[in-house]
Amino acid sequence: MSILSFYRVELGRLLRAKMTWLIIALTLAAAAAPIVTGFEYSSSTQFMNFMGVANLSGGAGGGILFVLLTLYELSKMYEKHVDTIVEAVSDPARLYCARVLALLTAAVLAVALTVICLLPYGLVKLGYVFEAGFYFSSFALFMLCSILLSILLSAALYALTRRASVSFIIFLLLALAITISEKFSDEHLVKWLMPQIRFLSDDFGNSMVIWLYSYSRFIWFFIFGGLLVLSLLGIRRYGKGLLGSFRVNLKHAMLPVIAILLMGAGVYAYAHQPFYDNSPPIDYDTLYSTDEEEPTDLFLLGTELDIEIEAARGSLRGTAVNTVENRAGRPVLSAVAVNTGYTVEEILIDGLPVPFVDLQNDTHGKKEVEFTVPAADGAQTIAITYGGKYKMWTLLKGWGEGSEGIFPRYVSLGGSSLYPRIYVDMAEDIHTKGRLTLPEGLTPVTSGEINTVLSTDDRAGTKTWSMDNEGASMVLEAADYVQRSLTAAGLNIEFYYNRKHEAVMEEIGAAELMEDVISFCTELYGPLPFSEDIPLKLIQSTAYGGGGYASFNLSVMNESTFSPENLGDLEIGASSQEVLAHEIIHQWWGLFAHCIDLEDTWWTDEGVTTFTTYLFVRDRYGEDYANQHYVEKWEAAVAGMLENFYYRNPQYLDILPEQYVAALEERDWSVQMYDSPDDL
Amino acid sequence: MTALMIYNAGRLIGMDNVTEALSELYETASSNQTDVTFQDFLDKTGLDREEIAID
Repeated sequence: MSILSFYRVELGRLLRAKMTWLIIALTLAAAAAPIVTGFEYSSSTQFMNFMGVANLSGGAGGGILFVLLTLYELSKMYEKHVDTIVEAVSDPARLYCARVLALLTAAVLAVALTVICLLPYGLVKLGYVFEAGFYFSSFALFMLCSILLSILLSAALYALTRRASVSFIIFLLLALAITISEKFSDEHLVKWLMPQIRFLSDDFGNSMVIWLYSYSRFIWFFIFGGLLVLSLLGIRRYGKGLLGSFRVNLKHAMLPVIAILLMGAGVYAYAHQPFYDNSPPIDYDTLYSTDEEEPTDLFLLGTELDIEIEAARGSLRGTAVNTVENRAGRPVLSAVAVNTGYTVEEILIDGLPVPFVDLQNDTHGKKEVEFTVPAADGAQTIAITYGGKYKMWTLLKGWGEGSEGIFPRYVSLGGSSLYPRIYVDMAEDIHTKGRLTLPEGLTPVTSGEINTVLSTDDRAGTKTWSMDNEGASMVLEAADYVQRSLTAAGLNIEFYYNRKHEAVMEEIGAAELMEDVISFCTELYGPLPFSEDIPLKLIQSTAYGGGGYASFNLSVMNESTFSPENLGDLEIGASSQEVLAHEIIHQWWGLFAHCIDLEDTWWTDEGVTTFTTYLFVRDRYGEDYANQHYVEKWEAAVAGMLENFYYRNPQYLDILPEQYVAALEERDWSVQMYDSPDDL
Repeated sequence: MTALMIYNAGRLIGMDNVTEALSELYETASSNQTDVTFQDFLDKTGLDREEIAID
């Protein structure tokens, strides 16, 4: 009999068994449990609180349940001692494969039923946020794949050990080691049972997490598939043990070759993942060093950009033309810093190509490309053509994926991730400006002046926009934005929010909240120096982006800031509403006034902004609320830091492993910046 | 730590005096493009470092 014939028989038998339907029902219950019990990620999105938790719970619970079913089904024949009869008339390896295929089919059925049963609740709960495509694909990618991989691994373990209990213990050890071990806490690519999903975006797409876990599933299907093929050699034959059966089964000479090829492909794919760069662990001493930078003898007079972004492919291509003066009177070795995923294709100085070297020295999410600027009187133009797929800084691993990059529905780029940044000294009154081409569905918001449409290419489905920022850099956010013009305390504000969120923005009065914070701070500290041409741009961004950030005249806020639950729930303390206030206050402290002190390094913009947020909260919600959610939190965090053994005895840090030292330094840094161990 | 230090200053001299000091520091720093140091804050509020120290 062929595997297909065995499979039909095995599937029919499996679907007639009550045990199978019990496992399917329990798998559905595992996915529904967090929804039924009302478990929610605080300050998160509706996708995360529905599909995210259902997938995590259903994947892990269903995975373990199907392992039990797999081991029960595979061991039943041996427990009842009918194996000698069955295997006398059938090939044991084919029969084993057919049984595994039948179990995989049952898992598909379990997830399909889960998806169908949760669909009505999802439609009602998520309302306008619901996206059918992401709903179905998330259950396929997260929950279903976790269960399928669990079945493959447990089937391989059973074929090798022939002991259900031993196989289950090994499975649990392997699954738990990867799920809960600190060593793998940041490693999405190894989380085959329980994906490490902390955020899902309602409005801006979830391409990064889909790309990451599609790739991760690819790796583990190869590895576990290879292991299963290898384990077929261990299926017991003629009453022999593992090694004896191996020798007998080796007549299937292709099995070990296929197994090695499959596992090798998985390991190769892991080692050559395309998402993260090779930057070494962060050195906080270097990153926050206050040392004066060496003068370069090159003065930047302006930068002209022409960038085209292919959002669906996660890539861009462009040219950055820098006008510089070489004031050294001799050739100067210079360099540009650029995202590690991009390639510099050509450098022209005054129209002539010059040699350059890509140093491939990934550091802090960028690499350097060196070239020599010749001596010349007056200004020279350095035109750099570059392009490629954006790559993440390894620092983002585990928590910041999706916060920056190029995605089909969201683009967030700044610094060397937008264009190669040349190492120069700055002349005054310079501009970074140019043209930006994006798919029609994306509206750009760049630092500086309002972006206007220069041209539309209906055939290519793109629009080209202007961009102009006073200064030597540019920050870009792009999505399907609605633009709304506001005025607060005489200040012009452009408020950009996702079109999908339009009704909610109106309902929660986000614009009024912004006007309130800006009026409060204007009265407290004075007006912000924005003109009609350069308004304050308030932007809603993806849930992957943390609380938000302020840069130039941009103030960027996480989408969960604007969810009805977060804005209405003052019980959660420093809520998203207050994050919104915090980010707007950075326009005063962090943008136009800087708290920097070389002697008292803890004296920071973040601290003054946090204090001002407290003042705003106290004014609006009362002293008790402000003390409970701010002052008491600060006192606890600072006391915790001061009482920490390693803070009081830093000499012992020398004998701690590097990762512990980095974690302690990061915590202390956070307390000193925000008066809290958690970033606000 | 900064927020707690400023808050402690407010407990000593009154929150209105602290916000007035910050307002003046903001105005000076934003118009002259200079950094605000902790010593500037102490000078503006008339406090000693030890008075608001938290360690």
